Amino acid sequence: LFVYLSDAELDSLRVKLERKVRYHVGPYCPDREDVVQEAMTRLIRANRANKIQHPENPGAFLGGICNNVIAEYRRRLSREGPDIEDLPERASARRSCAETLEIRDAVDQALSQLLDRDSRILTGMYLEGKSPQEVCAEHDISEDYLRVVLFRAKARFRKIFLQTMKPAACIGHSAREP
Amino acid sequence: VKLHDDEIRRQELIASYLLRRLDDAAVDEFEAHYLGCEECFQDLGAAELLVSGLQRRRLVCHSIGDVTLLRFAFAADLTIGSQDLKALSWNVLEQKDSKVIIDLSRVRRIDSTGLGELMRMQTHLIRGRGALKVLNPSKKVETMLRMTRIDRVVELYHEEQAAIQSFGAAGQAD
Repeated sequence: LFVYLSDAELDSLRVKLERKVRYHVGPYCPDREDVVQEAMTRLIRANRANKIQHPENPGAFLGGICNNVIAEYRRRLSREGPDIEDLPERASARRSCAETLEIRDAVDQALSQLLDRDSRILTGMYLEGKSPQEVCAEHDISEDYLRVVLFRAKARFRKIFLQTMKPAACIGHSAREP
Repeated sequence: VKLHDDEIRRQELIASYLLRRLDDAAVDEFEAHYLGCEECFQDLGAAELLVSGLQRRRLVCHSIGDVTLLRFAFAADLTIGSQDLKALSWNVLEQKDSKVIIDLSRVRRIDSTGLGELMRMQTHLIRGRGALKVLNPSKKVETMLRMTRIDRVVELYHEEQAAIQSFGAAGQAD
């Protein structure tokens, strides 16, 4: 059996795939985990059958598989209808309250440490969808300053994100065959 | 590789992805990239946290005993795709609070998505042995709530104290 992707690589892909699926089916979709699992199963099957053309860069391949699984899921939903009763409960079970509050506190603390102007710059770019040129003109700043603001924000929030990934990775991973 | 040559452009792309402003082809392309790029994946996660924090700032949250009062800091729209609606949903559905009052006085518009989301919040809170109450809706929003008969499921109040006390009364009745 010739396996291109290692378990560690598959684990890493699974975490990324969860984000993609969440983006497309929504955070409250009760079948989110099933969609991820199905896409991963197909990837592993293709991996074992030596069917991944570029295993050094499996993103496009996995993205394609995942799009198919999501399309199939949507077709099934349109036939059968969603189980609406199940939505909020499963969604809230995703993370414990303490964990969610901890993340929220960390994010709020990081935001409170930002300069007021930087906060408005980031709001313009990430919430209001303004282009970098518009943001620079509005706040009378150079691209270099914008780059610094983005770099600082990225460093702060990346740190928090990496902390949140630790438990999320444990929750998200199911046992896989050796 | 080109994406990583220009940091501002990369962050703009991430912001556009999160705001759902990319077309399908661009979404596919970016997803195919970040599925294989740890740096972009982490930046996406970081940006999402940043957005969630910024969104929360749109909403002011007061705790009065075990009751949570959510109020928009600025004029808001509870319509399909609106950031205000996303922030509100996040604050109600992802938090531990079960007795929630939403002050709708600054909500200018609400559509079927917004109304559906209110119903979803109510279902979620009832499961947590709480409830959702609505405070001070504008005439336009109140008309929508009454037309769709949501006011029969979600209680409407025009005075903050009355809305807060309604939870106490329910608690005593239990």
